[in-house]
Amino acid sequence: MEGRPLEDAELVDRAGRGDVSAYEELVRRHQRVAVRVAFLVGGSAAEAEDAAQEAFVKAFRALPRFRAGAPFRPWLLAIVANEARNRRRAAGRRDRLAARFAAVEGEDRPRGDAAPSPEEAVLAGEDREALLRALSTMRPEDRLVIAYRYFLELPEAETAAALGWPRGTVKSRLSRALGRLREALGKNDVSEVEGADHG
Amino acid sequence: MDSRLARGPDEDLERALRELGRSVPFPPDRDLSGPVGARLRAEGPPRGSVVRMPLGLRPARTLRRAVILAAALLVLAAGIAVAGRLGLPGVRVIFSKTPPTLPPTASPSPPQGSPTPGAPGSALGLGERVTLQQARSSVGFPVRVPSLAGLGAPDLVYRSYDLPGGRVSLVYTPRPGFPAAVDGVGLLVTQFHGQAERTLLEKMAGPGTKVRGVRVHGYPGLWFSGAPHEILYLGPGGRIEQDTIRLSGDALIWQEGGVILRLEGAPNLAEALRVANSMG
Repeated sequence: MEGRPLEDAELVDRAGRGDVSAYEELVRRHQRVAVRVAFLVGGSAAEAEDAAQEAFVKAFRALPRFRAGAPFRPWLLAIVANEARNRRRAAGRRDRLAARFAAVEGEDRPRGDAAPSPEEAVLAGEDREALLRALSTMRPEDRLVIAYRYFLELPEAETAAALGWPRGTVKSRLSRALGRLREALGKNDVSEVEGADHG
Repeated sequence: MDSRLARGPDEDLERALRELGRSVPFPPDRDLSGPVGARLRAEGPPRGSVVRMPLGLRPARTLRRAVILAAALLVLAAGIAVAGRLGLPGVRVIFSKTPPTLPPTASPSPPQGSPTPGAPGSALGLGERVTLQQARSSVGFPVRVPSLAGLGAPDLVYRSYDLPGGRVSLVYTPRPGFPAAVDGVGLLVTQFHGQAERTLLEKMAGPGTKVRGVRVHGYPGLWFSGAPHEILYLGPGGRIEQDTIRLSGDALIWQEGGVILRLEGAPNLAEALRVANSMG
């Protein structure tokens, strides 16, 4: 690269004129979030990388239709999320994020990740299980908006793009999803403390 | 106990979710630029450059005639001869020499052994479940419903706002003549506002896909059959919106009174036309 890193927009422009090297730089910049979105949507670690790769190839082909000057990442994530969803359906898989959550407990820690941080250890035991259980009962869209915002910390524009929602609706839908998460957590209480009055 | 999270302040719940996120077993980081770059170099320049070439196609300023012309040019550019006329306002068909790269549609039978957690169609990304009345009062076009005897009313109605003016999907569970295709859906009818200048629907058709021009209520339509094809919308601002719905791979698409309608799941063209012609 030259003296300063190029902006995404410049790389997109070059890639749109057929510069594959410029596009490779875009891939490197966004592959991590792309694979993670694919994983959250598709529920399969094995498929996530393939889905992200395919999405990058499709996005490249679609670059001539990309609006110049628009941010690249939301657009890319919309394609990634669609690709992952299509693959999940084609494979006849259900939304397996719930199952993945349920399995987190027994999984090996992901390679490359550090040991649990002290903060992580704070969320242990019952709270953690209750959250996982509550999330697994929620609708895929609710779960995804929560996962995008809190697990991946995606900005609203990217969350909206990945979900195919109008940008302005993310805040209110997230708020409703959190409300339903609270309800689900409350139900967990009821099932465990039978007969308790939770008003 | 979790009541702390259920009833505590937002910050506690949000912090708990962020912490939970750190323990999600995401796939390990790996460099994809190598394999992606290798594929792109092997495939040559972006196919889409063909799209730009004829007319600098930008949805906002595209004239109906230009769309038809562009489709014709694309057909020629791809070296595929197609009999008949393919002009359908608001719809653009893109032919490619290679089949769509998505994996083939799942087998027509629903996956076995996995209980359906949601309602039929809920896994298809159709949006929120609403009543027909709610759908009618919340989208910017008249919603049409088939009146074919024996078909009955739609079992479920979904609405989304991923396209300007909204999109409504009618879901029919499997019934005689319409066996289950995907996710407990026998027949799926999707409709949305389809001004040619604003919204374009693209079908990427591979070499195995047959496209046939038809008439529905006297309006122009297209019947896609054979190999699976993928559907891309050009949304506002030229953003590409990839459709995620694929049932049998056969689809009837037509435009009527500024609305684009799509029907999937019918076993053949004759059945698709019977349903389509019954839509008032």
